[in-house]
Amino acid sequence: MGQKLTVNVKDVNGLNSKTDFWVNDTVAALGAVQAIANLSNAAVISAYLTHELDISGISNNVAVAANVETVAEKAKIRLSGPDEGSAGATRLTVTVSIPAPVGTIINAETGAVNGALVTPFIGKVTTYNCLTTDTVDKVYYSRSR
Amino acid sequence: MAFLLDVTFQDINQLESKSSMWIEDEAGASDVLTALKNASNAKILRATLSTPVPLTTITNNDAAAANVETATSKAIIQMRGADAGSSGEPFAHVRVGIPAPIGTLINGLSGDISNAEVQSLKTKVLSKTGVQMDVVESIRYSR
Repeated sequence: MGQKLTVNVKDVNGLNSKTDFWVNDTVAALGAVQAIANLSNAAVISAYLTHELDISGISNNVAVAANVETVAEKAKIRLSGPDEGSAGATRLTVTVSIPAPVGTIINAETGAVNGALVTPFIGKVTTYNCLTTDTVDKVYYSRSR
Repeated sequence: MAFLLDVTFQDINQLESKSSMWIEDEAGASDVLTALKNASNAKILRATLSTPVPLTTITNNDAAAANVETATSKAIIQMRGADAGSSGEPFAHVRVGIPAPIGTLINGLSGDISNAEVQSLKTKVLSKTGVQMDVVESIRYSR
């Protein structure tokens, strides 16, 4: 199975566009990105490869009619990273959305930050530049898509 | 390097929604998927993991003011896989869009399918089902 290559480009006037297609592996992706750069007057500003994950190992993976049935209702878990101390850097934050949350996470406007279903995200969720989270700041309710 | 995890959920009434986050490594994806499922009444329909492709080795990677400057104007390269012969399967087709194409690729409404760069690109492109592209069928202009 191939991987989907998405290439984002920007032209000389700053307009962005993207193109995507499937390739075999990282080596082919690099060759394809080089070909795009050679064939285009625009500059390649980012590219990434996407592959499917096997979800067959997830247990109990069925939709349930329970406290919140709709995936448009979400529990938002806001996590943060360590205090940068004297570096004075902004404390990083990351928000994870849980569609149709179970009642033990949130059962009103807010939820417990030390709940057993919330803490597994600590340390596993990072910022885009791979800074790791170590605290759940808050759990709150949101309606959105 | 972080990995982008995209997860699609479906609730009991078939409404779909998506949640995305960055994770530290691919090995951690299954733990996060399990944590997401435990926290939700919805079913996980699919999950994908994205990794950045490093651009540091890409040469000639500067935007140029030339024949076609704008990235919304594209050359559309249509390719197909090999003839499946007696199996009678339809050809696998792929279209690749080239934003702001250079003049030697396309200079009017259509382009030269024997272009060396296009032929090189063809060897790296697969269909969604994994079929290697074999023939460049056409190059046309699209805005």
